[in-house]
Amino acid sequence: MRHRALFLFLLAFACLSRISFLHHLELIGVAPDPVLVLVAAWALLWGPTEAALLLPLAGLASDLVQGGPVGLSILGLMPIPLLATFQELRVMAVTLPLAVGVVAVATMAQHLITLSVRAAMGQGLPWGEVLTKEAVPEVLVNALAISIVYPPLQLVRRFLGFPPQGLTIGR
Amino acid sequence: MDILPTFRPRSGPFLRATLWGVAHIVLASLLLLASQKGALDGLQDAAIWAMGPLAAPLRDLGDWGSDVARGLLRRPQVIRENEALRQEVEQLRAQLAAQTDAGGRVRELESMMGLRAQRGQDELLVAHVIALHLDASTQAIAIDRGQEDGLVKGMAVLSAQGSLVGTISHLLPHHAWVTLVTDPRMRVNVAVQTTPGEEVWGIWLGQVGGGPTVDMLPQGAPIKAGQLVVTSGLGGQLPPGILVGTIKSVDDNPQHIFVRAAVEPAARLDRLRTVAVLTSHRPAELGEP
Repeated sequence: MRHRALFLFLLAFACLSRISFLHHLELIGVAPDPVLVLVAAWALLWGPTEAALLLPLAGLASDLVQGGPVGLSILGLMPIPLLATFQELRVMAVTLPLAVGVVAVATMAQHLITLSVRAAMGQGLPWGEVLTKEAVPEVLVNALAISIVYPPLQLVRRFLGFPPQGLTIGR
Repeated sequence: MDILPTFRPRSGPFLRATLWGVAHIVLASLLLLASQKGALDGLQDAAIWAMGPLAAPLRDLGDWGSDVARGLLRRPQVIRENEALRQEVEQLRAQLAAQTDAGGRVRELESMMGLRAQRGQDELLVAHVIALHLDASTQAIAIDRGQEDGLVKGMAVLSAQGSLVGTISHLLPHHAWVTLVTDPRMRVNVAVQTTPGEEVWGIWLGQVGGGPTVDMLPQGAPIKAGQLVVTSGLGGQLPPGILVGTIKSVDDNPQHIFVRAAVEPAARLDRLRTVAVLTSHRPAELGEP
């Protein structure tokens, strides 16, 4: 249960950072999405089921503090457990490159889902501009963010008594 | 005998992830529906109320850290800018001194004609900024005033210096979200003050991930960098004469039907602490002619 308390703490900090100082950390015109990075790291470290369970909470918290349509972030974060399933199948060892790949795909998927839902709600934005000026730079920035966040979280996982993850390829 | 390892896909984990996905879609759809009906406004209000006091010190810390980092990286440029600003302040003071006398005469004329400065009549409600949402596709701030303070969707929100910050877009009982003039969905009818007493109408457009522009300006209009952009009052959404920004550069390609200009908002939108809601102007809801 201690790891869930840690998740709640990190989620609260991620939401707070989003509404307070994160715009100062902009690189190539965008800031990282801390909630997406947190959920992706969690899915890879504690498994897709754990992430699927906590994902609605993360999406709900994100929407409540950011004033967006509530439920939109849940849809945006939805692909993460599916992507993390590759780790469970042990098709590839759980290492930083996989985490970076999951975050990159999840970021792009989140933007596509958000754009589609917003368009359906009559709040459409130009897709080309959003994808080139926001989604693609955010893929890079989120990839960088998980590269920084993932190794310490791996240590925390070990500290909390979970077994270390092996470096295996195949089953 | 099989000597090569075989990969047998397991459907279990993917099926489970798909079922979770369906559950998430159902939950998100229900929440979106409730959100659209305003049923979750109370919950959003409570979340902002709870997060607001915690966000304020973090915002101050972030601003301080940003200033320190910028100062270290751009010290020579800051020194040059500082010198240029000092010169500008001196020039403006000289102009102000020259205009004080003229200003007095204008006031006399105004009182004679029974006119009053337009903003003097306006009622303003001071509000504190408690949350920011600044990314490439959304530019908004949350303020600590809401429906119960008499705010109405579409009301103008001004900076402490009196320039337009944005308009109220999402009303909650005790808080409100203000869409900033830099938001890609923002559209404002504006006028560019070209020469004293002359102005050219256009439309202020927010852009994804970049600076806003003023579009639909007529070809041949004498638009230059540094000219002021104010609200035109057309459409009745906003009162006329509120400063929105200044012209940065002009794209007057003669092959285009209209001139487009890059603009800079007058207010520093990422550092807002206190704003004023213009409560005396109710946004008009004009239907079809």
